[in-house]
Amino acid sequence: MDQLNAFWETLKHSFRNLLPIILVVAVFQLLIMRQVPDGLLSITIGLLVVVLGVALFLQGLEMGIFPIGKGLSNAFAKRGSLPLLLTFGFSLGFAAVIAEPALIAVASQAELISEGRVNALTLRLIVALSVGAVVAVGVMRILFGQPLHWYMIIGYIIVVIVTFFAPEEIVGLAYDSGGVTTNIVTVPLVAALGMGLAASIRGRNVLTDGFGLVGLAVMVPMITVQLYGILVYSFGDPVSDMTAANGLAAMDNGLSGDSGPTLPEEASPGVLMGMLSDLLLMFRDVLPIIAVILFFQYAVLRKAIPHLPRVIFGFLMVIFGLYAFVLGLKLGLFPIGTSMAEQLISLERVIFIYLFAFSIGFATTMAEPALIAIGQKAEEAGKGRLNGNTIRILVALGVAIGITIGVHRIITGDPIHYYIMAGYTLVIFLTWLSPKYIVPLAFDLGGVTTSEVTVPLVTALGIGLATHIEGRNVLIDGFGLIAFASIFPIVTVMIYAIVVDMMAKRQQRLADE
Amino acid sequence: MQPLLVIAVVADELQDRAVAIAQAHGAQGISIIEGRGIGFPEHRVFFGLTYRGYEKVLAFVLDERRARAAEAALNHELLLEQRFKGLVISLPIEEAMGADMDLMSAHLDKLDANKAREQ
Repeated sequence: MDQLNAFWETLKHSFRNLLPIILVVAVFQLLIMRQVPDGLLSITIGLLVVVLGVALFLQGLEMGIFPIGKGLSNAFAKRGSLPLLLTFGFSLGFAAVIAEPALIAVASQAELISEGRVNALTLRLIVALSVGAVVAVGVMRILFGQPLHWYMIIGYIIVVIVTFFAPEEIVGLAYDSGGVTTNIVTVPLVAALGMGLAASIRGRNVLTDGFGLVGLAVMVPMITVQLYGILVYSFGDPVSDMTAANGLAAMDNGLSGDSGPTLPEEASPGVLMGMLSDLLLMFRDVLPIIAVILFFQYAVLRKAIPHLPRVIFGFLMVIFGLYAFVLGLKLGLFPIGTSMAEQLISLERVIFIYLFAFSIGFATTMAEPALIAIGQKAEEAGKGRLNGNTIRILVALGVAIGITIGVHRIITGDPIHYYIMAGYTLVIFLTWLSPKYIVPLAFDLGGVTTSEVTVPLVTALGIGLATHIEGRNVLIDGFGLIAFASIFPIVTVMIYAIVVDMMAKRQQRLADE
Repeated sequence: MQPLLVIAVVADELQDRAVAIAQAHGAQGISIIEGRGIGFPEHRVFFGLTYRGYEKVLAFVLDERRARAAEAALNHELLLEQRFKGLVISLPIEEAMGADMDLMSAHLDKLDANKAREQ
């Protein structure tokens, strides 16, 4: 009964989260394009399925993923073996990334635009190895209780320097591969590992020490991928017999399909089979992570999982929720999103494109399930200092600003280099200024924003713009938007913390006088 | 009857079993609080850091006789004297409100009757 009540609450909550999207679509359709969208019924059904999916997913996270992440890190802390803990961190990071469908898409695209200099599999391995390594480093940081901001400042200075030297073709991709490493399931799991570890050691704080693993996992691929790019562009030769069609197909597949199911074309007995196979695909995507968890739980720790039935049920809810969520998006949101983007572009009123980019960025981020979950965890860890809803609005605002700037870049055709270097210089500067308790959370939030909702929509927008504007290369200009979407939430969250901090100090001064 | 407040602090994974034992001994309402704790002697892990475990704090009310039995059962069945398991204490209650005492004792009577029939 308890669970059912909680589920009902989540359901209502997740419906409210979807309101901004409905509002944006309605306003644009009715006021600007003055038409009732085609297929209103399928849109409505799709959005209802999304509501159900988000609710299932969130409830499942709470029952399955968060407890198991925390439980494992607690068990490793208790065991007291550093090598085991680090191996676990590495394996989790590696497994989370290696099978990530969005990364597979980005990698095959990289192979394509570099004319075979970049090998897709090597790229994936490099990203997975570097994420694994940096999760292990992040675990060490939690143990030592070192502040994250130095890691981030130094890391992003390296990012900016490397970007300066990296071949232009590879820059957008490198940033996107940082963004896509963290998906909707891995973010909560990796975050739970950090939070659980910080909670398991005396003197460590969940907010300042526990967060930050996701932020590190987003940053490091940007460095390694660009280094790899520099290397192959300096020494490698283009491989001429590369089958371009192959790469394009893979990319298409990965972008439109992501990890998600494909929309059933017609009602036939095939639909059910299709849905089943989509569901199986989703299982396959999380399989490496489940394998790592089971291996460490039963072969290394040799301990039963506490509350096992509930955890299994939670995992199933997460997968089914995710499935329903992606299916609903495809049914309800993506068709209208892309058709709206196309229509707006053909209107040739640039201001509407900006407005659309801003509002769709804001609205989709507000509905992002992983963000809802992390915002809630941050509120718990912040002990009254943070409010989950404020965090979400800030992040949504950041994504909106980021996408608008990214769209501006595509429209004007400016080189992506300078935008990204300027963006990260701002991030470095703010990291140095802002109150330190917010730094790990701010960087984690930058990684949370880029998952199943935002990525496909934003990529569709970028590709749409790049195809319709003369002189833009779809492969080069269509990408990189994801990077913008992950820079600016960091900026807005930190600026907010700086302002709050200044106001509190001012009040303190006034009270002292 | 002198009512006692029984407080059992157990490791996270023992929660379900502890609840079952308490209920078998007549506990009706059980409050479960999540917590983290440091054991004695302190468990030192890498770099001299102190381990902090997940634990659950169970609180329930029973009359003296049943409370003693529940405590003994918890201690015995969950092996509380081993490391990382937990402990159980009880305190006398001066006043209690918000519970239907008639309903509670009816439940306890039924429990006793069942036990007598089994024997």
